[in-house]
Amino acid sequence: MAAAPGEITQLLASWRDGDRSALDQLVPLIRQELYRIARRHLRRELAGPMVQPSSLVQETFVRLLPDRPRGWHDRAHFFAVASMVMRHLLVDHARQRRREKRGGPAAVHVPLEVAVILSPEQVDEVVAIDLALNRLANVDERKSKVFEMRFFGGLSLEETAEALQISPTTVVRDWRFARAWLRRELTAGGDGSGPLAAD
Amino acid sequence: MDRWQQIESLFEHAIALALPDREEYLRKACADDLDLYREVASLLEHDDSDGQEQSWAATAAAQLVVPEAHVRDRVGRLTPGTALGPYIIQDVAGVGAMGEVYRARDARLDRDVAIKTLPVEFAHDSHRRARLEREARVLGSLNHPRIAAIHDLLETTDGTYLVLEFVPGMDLASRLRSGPLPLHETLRISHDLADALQAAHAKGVVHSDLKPANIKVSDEGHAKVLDFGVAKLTSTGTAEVGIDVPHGDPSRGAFQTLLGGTPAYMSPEQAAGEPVDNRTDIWAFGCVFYELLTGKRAFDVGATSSAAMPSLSGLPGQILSAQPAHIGQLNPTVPRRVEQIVDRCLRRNRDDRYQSATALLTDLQDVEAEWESRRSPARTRHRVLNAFGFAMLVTVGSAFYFSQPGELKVERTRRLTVDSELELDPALSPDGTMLAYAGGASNETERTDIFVRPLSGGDSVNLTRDIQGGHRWPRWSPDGKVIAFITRYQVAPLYAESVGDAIIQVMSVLGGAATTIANAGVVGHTWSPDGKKIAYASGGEIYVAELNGTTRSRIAEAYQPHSLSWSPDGKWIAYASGNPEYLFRMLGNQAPAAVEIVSAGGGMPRRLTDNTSLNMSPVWTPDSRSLLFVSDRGGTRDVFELKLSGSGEPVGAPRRLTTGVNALSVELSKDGRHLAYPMFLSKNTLWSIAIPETSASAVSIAGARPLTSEVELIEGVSASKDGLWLAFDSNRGGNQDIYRMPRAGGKVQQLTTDSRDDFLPAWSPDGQSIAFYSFRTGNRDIFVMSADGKDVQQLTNDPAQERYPSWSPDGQSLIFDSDKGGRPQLFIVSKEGATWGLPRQFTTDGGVLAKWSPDGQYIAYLSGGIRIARPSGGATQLIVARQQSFAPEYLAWSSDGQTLLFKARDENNRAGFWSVPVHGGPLRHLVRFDDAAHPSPRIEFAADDKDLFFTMSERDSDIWLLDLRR
Repeated sequence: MAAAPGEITQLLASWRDGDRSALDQLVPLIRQELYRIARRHLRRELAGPMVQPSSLVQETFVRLLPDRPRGWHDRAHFFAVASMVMRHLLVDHARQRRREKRGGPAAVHVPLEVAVILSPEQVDEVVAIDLALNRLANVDERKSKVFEMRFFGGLSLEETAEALQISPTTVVRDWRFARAWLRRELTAGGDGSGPLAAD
Repeated sequence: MDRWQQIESLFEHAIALALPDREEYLRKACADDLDLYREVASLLEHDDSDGQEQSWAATAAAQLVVPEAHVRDRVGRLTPGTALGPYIIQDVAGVGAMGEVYRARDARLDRDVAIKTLPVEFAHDSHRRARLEREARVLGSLNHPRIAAIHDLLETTDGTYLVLEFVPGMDLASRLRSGPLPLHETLRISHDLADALQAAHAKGVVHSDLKPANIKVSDEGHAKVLDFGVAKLTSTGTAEVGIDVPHGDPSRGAFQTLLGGTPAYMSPEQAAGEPVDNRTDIWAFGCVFYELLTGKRAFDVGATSSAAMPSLSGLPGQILSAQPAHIGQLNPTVPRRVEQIVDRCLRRNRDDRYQSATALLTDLQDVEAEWESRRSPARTRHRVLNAFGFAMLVTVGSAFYFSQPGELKVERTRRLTVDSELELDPALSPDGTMLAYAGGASNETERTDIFVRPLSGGDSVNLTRDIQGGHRWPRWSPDGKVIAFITRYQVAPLYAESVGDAIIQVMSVLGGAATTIANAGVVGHTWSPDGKKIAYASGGEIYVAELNGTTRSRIAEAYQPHSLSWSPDGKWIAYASGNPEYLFRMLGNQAPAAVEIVSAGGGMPRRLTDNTSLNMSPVWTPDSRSLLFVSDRGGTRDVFELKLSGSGEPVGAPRRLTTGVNALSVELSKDGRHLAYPMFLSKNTLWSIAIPETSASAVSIAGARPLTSEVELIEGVSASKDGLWLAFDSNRGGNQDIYRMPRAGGKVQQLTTDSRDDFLPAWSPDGQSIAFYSFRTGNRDIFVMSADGKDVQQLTNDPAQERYPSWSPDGQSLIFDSDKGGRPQLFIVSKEGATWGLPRQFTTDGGVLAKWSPDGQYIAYLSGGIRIARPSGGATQLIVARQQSFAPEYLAWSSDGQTLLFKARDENNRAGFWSVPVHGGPLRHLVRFDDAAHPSPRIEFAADDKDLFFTMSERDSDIWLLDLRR
């Protein structure tokens, strides 16, 4: 089941070279690895320290690309994809919660009490942020990436800078701008379109 | 530089500046590019300079990954057909965070069992395994009908498994997804749970993870607790505590509990990492009980504001400090005694909780006994009335039934809507697949719309969004293509002389334009079975209109007809007679009404029920031989069936179909299989607010103070002249009775106890007597009693309605209104020595709601507005004219007799208090009713020289569906 180490590297490289289908193959692999790592945390010690999101991503990276000199390309792209995966996970979860809340046909019921993960307000916020972030990406892809990595991926300033190959100062600036921009979009009256109305 | 870069650059420069300097910089930099200025300014407004924002989304995503990973690791380890000792795996029954559960077949005993996997650690630790075996034996000895048994502990080379009793049925967590459970079911389940706890605790076994997902309910409605002691058994640490956490590190406890289930049921001692005991289960029981009653978790840990990330380390803190919302706020029907039991289970300090399941069980049994006695079919009228306070306030909706073979029987109850808004007037489409209803308002003063949605669930579509006015009473045409509904542009005041502003419109179910069919005063229309005509009521008359709107014919005269229903065979039209306010002006208004029928071809109406209780909203069964209707004859508003002969004569007495469902109206599907009703719950309590100083402008009702806190319906209030007492009517003791309480607060005394309803007390000027009106004679008549409730005298005896007595200042006369001549007029009755004489008519031009001035100079009353007259008669003077946009509805005199205080409604039906000098001068707006959660639908109020006394409402109405079978 596990991907050969070389396969991930290869897929990252293909994606870097503009092959979108490589991403489609990467996402499930990384998702799987995230689960595996999280599981190991659990095994190690049930009452162990809380899994930190950035260490989760870091560790996933180490495990997926163990025998390659870790050039920034691999690392950067891996961080980018992992952040995207975490964003998708959370947004899917939030959308499902919203469907359930509306009393619509519940999607596959996960027999787990994961409901505590997001408050109802956060459920709406995650969905709204996701939509607004797509709009930001249309205008300024880099800022949306910075936000995605910091917010959904939990990456540090330095990790984000490394992943995007920009200076930490730029990350600081983009991060602040993106937050102001998104916050405005999420407030009624932002650009008039109302991010919540889009869903 | 492109636009975006410009914005970015300005933003960056601006944030580098001190706050006060940004504005000026931006204005200069943008020069006359106003759009640019606005864009950057709005970004700056949303700038968060501290930059310390937590990446809560990442933390949440990581959390999401963790438990899923845990599950995914375990799913499907055993495939169907696998043999585990004597057990053959059938399928996966569930996957929990602590392991998965399989359904398996025990071939030897020919029964299903549940097999639960245990963590792998057990396989490798002989010490731990020995203890597990020891404990499994103890658990195995727990032989109790309310506890799922442990059959076996199975060890194979692949792992360790617990073999448990397989319990079919739905777990409570699934049940609770559709809202709270009916009270009788909640009581039964709670009893079962307490029973189970008692048995287990007696053997020294603590559950320590009791929660809805661990409780199954059989088809008979009995509960069985799963996984008793399993949390402790399967904990990977020491077995001394159910939740294995080192003291002083709460985050670890929370983390583990999250994996083991949900923190929502975790007791404070568990959150603090302390050892568990019996009382830990009592806490969890309280949480479950709370949720059954309210449909909401007592501690919805994690459901906090988005700013407060539900980080795992934050959970114990929430459990340690949070307070659950009052049960009464979430479900006002829960009896206080039940609430007290829950409160006692949920004490933070376990020493303050029930110390044993036995003590808990004792209290539960008391409440159950009370409940059982109330639902007994063989009760007398008097017992029912006593029960009223309890039943009406308590029932979440239990529809059960005492049936003979072949008679209608309630099979199933479902709740269709759950909004906090009022959902009213359910109507089922002829094919039985769609529900139409009126909704969207939280009180009568707000606009309602007609919504349509599939009965099976799904989104509601607002049919009338673009149509002016407020819309009610949707009724499907027999072919299911068109809906006829009522539109009101303005809600008419209670005593409006004309209510012709309501019209009937029809529109396609698919939306589109609406066509006006008829003007209707008092409302509640019905389709003819062939779909070509609509019958409706207007004033005291019943009309039938052709759908094309051109012809209409008057078929009958009746007393206040409304809520019409045409029989499927086309012969009859049934309707309610009396109290039209109940459905259309003051929801749930307490006044009697009778069910009557009239031939659809016209003729004399025939009364089918009494008119001393409330009988509302008749609907026909498909065979046209029975009427179902709502009646409060048993104390609560329930659905009754009355059978009719072919010639429309009642056959036998009305028969009860439901108990305690608090239906407002009722609707039957075309096939007679489904019955829909709005469960309407309300209270109307007494408040006061200081009369604002002369110079002040109108104040908000937010400054009002509550004077009563019972769940009750109060209509009238009166303040004694000495300022010491308030008298009011209330149904807190069952039916409507008169009470008094000290103005300064203190014990409330019940003054009347008659089983018929008494309303609207009025203190005599000397404070020695109280006048009121009562239904003791079968209709409203005026009565007087002493201030302590003794020496009741009947002043009027007339089949008409006499109400709203007001004293002359010398205490020798009372003025009241009566409709004995048809149109309401004022009458005066005076003392003749020790007795009261015969009433004499005071007005001839109409008049209601009179108040005698304190100086005896005037009588003020309503007739086309506020009018004053000399008690000796003669010309009257209009003080405030009634207008469409400003309708006075009740009045009181200031204590000096110089000013009239009155309650009025504006064109949007918003209430307010006003004053006007009686000898001329401007109107003054005193108080605005501007709290949507507390409307004031009643007209009545009282005043002394400092305060206004009045009532405000809280109400809820959701639509429920019963499945019927004959």
